[in-house]
Amino acid sequence: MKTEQNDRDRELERMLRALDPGRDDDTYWPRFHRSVMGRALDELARRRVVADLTVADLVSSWGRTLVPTAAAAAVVAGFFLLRPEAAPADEALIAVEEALVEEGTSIPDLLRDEELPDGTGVVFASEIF
Amino acid sequence: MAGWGSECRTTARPSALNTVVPIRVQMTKHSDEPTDRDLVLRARSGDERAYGQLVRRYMRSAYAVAYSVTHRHEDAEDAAQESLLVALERIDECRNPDRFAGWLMTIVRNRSRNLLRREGLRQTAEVPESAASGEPLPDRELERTELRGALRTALSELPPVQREIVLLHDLEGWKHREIAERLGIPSGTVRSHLHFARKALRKTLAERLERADADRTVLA
Repeated sequence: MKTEQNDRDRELERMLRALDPGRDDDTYWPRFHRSVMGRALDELARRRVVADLTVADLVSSWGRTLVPTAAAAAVVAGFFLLRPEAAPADEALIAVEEALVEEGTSIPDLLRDEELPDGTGVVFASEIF
Repeated sequence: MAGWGSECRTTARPSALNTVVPIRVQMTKHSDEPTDRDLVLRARSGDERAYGQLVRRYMRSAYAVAYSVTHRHEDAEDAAQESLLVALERIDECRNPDRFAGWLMTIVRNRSRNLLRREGLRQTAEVPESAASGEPLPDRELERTELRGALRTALSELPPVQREIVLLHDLEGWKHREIAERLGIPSGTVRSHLHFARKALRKTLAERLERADADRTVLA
C-alpha cells in the first residue's frame, strides 16, 4: 500500500516535470540565465562604481561641488563689500530723544503726521524686548 | 556555516529538474559552494559572478513559484526574470542574506500577481499550445502538450500555497525544511499541504496516472 503510494507520488513528480521548460530543450536554462545577466549588466556596473569609491574620492567629489560654490559666495560677498557706499537715505530715522532736543522743531510740529519742511517726519515704532 | 538541513543552510542543491543525484553526493559536491550570504554580499558590490551564481541557483525555483501564480509559461518566465533583476536592484534591502531565497520568492510572488493584475483577469480562453501553429503535432509532442494542459488545469484547482509547495517540492526538489524556512511556515504545515496537494492532483489526474500504471505493468 505504502509502496503503491510512493509509486504514485513518483509518477506525479515525473508528470510535473513536464512543466519544466528545460526538459526538452537543453538550451532553455542557459538562455534564461544569459538573458537575466545581460539585463543586469548596467546595475552591476553601477554597483561596482559605488563600491570602488574611496573616502578620498568622496571628499574630492564634495570638493568639486564645494570649491566652486565657495568661490561664487566669496565673489558675491566681495562685490557687496567693495561697492561704492550708497547715498544716505532720504528718510533717516532718528530717535525721539534726538528729535526732542533738535533746534527749531517744536513737539506739536514733530508729532504732526505730514512731512516737515526739512524733509523729516515722525514714525512711531515700538520695540518689545 | 550551517550544516545540511539546519536552519541556516543556504547552499541550494541542483534542481531535481535536470539532475537525479543522491543527497550524500550532493552534500559533498556542494559543501565548498559559497553560501547565499557570501553571494549576496558580493553581488551588492556588483560582483557579476556572485550574482550569476545566485541566478543559476534560484532561477528554476523562481520560475516554479511564478508558474504557480500565473499558470502560463510566458508569464512565469517574464515574472521570474523580472524578479531576479528587481532582487539585484533591491539587494541592499535584503536584511538577512541567509534568507535570500525566501526574500526572492516573495518578490517573485508579488511580481507575478502584479503581472496578472496588469493584464487584467484573463476572461478569454487560453489558446492551447497545440493551436499555435496550424501544423499537426507529432504524437509525442501532442501528448506532452496535453499533459501540460492537464497539469495546468489540475494545479489551478489547488489553493495557491499548495500549488507553490507541490511545485517547489516535486519540480524543484526542495526539502520540507527548506520550503518551511523559505516560505516562513512550519514544517508540519508544509507536509500537510503537500499531502493534500498531491491527493488532489492524483484525483484530478487519475486517468493519466492509471494509464501510466498500466504502461509500467506492461513494461515490467
